[in-house]
Amino acid sequence: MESTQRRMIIVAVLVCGFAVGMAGLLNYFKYRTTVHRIVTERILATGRSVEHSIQSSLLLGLQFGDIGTLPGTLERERAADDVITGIDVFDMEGRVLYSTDRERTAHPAPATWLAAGKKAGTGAWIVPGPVESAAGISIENNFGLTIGYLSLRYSNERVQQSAYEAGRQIAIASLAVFALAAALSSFALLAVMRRLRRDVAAVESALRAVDPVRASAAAGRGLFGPALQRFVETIRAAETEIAGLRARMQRDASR
Amino acid sequence: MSYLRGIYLRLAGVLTLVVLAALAANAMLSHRAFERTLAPEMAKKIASVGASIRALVLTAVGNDIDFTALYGVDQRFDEVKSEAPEVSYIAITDEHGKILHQRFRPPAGATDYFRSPGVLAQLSAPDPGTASATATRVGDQYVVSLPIVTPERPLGTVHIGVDVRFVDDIVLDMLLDVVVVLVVSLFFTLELLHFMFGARLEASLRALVEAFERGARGDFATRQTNQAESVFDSLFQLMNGALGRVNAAYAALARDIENGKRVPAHERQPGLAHAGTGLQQLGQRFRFGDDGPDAASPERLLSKVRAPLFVFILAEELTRPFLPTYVKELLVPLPGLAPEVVVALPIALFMLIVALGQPFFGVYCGRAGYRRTMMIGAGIAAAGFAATALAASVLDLLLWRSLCALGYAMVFVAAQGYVLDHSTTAGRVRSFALFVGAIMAAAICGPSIGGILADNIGERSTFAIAALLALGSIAVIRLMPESRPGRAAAAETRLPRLREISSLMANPRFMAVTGLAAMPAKILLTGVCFYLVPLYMLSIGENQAMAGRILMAYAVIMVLIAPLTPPLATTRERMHWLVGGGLVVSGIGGLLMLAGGGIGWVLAAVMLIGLGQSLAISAQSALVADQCEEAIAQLGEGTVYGVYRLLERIGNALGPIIAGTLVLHFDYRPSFVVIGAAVALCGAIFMTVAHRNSQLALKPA
Repeated sequence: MESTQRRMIIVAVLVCGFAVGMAGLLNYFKYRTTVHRIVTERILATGRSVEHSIQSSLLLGLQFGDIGTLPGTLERERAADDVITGIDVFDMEGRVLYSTDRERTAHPAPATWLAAGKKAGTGAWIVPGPVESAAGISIENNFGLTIGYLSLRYSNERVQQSAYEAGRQIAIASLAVFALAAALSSFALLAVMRRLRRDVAAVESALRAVDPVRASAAAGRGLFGPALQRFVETIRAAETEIAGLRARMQRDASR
Repeated sequence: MSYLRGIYLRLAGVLTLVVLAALAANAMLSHRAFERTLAPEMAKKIASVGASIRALVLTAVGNDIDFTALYGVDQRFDEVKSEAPEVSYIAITDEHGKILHQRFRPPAGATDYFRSPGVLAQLSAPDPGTASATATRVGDQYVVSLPIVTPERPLGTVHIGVDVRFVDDIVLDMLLDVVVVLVVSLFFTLELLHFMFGARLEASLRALVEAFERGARGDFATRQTNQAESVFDSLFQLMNGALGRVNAAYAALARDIENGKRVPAHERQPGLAHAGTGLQQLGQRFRFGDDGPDAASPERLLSKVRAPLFVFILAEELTRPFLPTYVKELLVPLPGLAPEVVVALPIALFMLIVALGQPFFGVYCGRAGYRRTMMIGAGIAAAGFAATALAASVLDLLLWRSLCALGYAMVFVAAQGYVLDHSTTAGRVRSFALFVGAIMAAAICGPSIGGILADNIGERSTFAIAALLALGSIAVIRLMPESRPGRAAAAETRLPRLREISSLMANPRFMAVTGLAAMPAKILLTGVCFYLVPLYMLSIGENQAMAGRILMAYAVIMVLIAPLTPPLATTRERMHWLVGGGLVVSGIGGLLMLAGGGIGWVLAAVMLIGLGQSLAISAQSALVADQCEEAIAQLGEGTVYGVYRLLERIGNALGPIIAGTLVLHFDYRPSFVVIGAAVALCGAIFMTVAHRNSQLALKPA
């Protein structure tokens, strides 16, 4: 029975580990997805603000590649949010027209950005990267035609830091819940097993009992009921017969 | 074994309650952690949204529009709400905190808060434009306040509120996944209990009952039990002690009588002859002595196949909700094949290999043994899963999925053969219930968990987990005893000859069950559940976890309903009704998509398919024997059932191809409907044909 108890505890630990582990994992991924969504939406809100500014300039008749106030606006918006590492505006060919990092205007926008922008149409797009990711929106002219894209680069580190912190808290909470649940379920399982132990003890007492009547009565109760009772009674009957034969043999001898 | 079932239910119930409490506690603690860490992030987002409103206000004021006479503000607020749905209140106040514009539901105490010195003080901060966003709890909202200040003077403040329950929504969003974890935990508990404890306990209880019954019949011969296999060591010792005592008394008496006979006749005890006669009679009525070690009965070894089978099948089931989506991501143009059909190819090829490979692997299993075949199969499948995780395109994916199919077929055939070989004729139904139980438990746990994992860690990582599970199953397979198929299993796995297949395919009675019932049922299962459901869910913007949950519902219905139907299939008519009715019910499942295309309708469709299949599955198999008596007499039961299974599994392979072709021409919802209608029609025709055959059989010759 000791090995059964050990096995019960292993079952409790494994099941609680699975359930709490899966729940913790779900919580962590949900948090990571949520924080990433919030950060992206926040960046896109900044992007829309820049887009409004571009639209205002276009409405005034300025050319898309010739908005003199745009570099200042981009710089101001980048400085307003510490998660944004840079803002770029590029046309449909991928030519970077404006950027908070001057040297980027010398190179074309990454092909993945252009592809993501074209795929998203008028919607927002995201291109994940190893160090920094980019979220973007399309820029349309007064006739509703897409003339370029606005991309906001943001540091993955901030999102990762936030996810790491939440992950740590979720891990600690999950570990505590797991330890408690594993202990509680182990005790609960052992308590349930107590009934089995009690029934086994009744059978043992029936097998141990010297008095045949008590043995038979004990056997009738509990785990194996009639089968054990018949077993005990048959053995008693056989023992009685053997003892009877021996007694008779010895009695006749002593006459 | 109702005593054992009682213990099982109590153990599983207690564990489920604790797990439920643990999941609730975990959700509560996570809620707090979310609130603590997400509120500042949300505040920053809201500040960005607020900054755009502020910029517009400043532009308007810069264009000489009076701050107190701004127009179009409510429209802008509505736009903000559509961009950030979690925003529950927006207001603009003047420099004294008086509300100029507001939209949506104001939090309790908003007016006082806007006029509070802390908020008004922001207007005179050195650089109010770059003030960091902090969320303040006002009533039931977090409010972020951003001052609107021109270089000349402060104008006022824009306030944006977010309902504090936004975290509740995030946690509630996970509720379905947590319920899935709970259900899977329950089945996991039952499987673990069985593996760690139940099988031994059941074997020990059975051994004890047998020993007691033997003793009650007068068979006192002791048998050594394997201590490692027994839960009741002390009980066995005591029982053997009691048996040993009576054996010893008998042996001592026999010895004394024998010794007594050795002395000269005149010195012999007078009662010796009487005792000798009594001893002889005792020996006839009871059985004494030692039978040596107790050989494990084949049925006792049966349960050892359940855990490896569960773990292995779980690996394959994990991939169900996202495999078609994964294939779609790896699509490359194949000449002459539409993408919709190419997506179906890996599933169809898998099913075809399993269908065609089973007879061959049955023969291989005869040479290699069950354990070895299962280990090799699991190893091949693990390699297949790992390679699938790294697949570059649909072309190499086809090869890797073929490996998975080979492994699956090997494990399936070997496990089935093992069950067949280790069960008595009387206990075969119970033995197969153990086999099917392991598969169904995996079918419940696998898709739901697979969907959640694919959504969160990605499809490739989930395939890697499937590979680990398949590898892990090898460790459990190693615990099985090494044995080779006996005659019964070997007969079942003989390759059906072409002549036999064609003869059966020309048999109208056989084809009525196979072509009108078994094959359509499988086409519906794989076409709808394995192909259409995962792809359709994604097409309506749902995730793979939802597809997994819906597939789990199918398995849950099967587990709940399928055991109830065999007792109903008592007569031929009832079997006809169950098979035909089951097909019609599952066909209606597909037709249900005419009513709507939401998740609820998909769930209802899949549940009806599960219900229909549960009604039909056992009667369908029994009908083969009932309808094809002549064919069985001529070709043998093994051959008839072998061809039946082969054609049924070919139905499995056809399902995704048919569904893919239908999607190509009609889109998803009509494909559900067309397959459903065709299967319902098959069910109706089957019932008509079966009824006509019964009428013909009743007519006097």
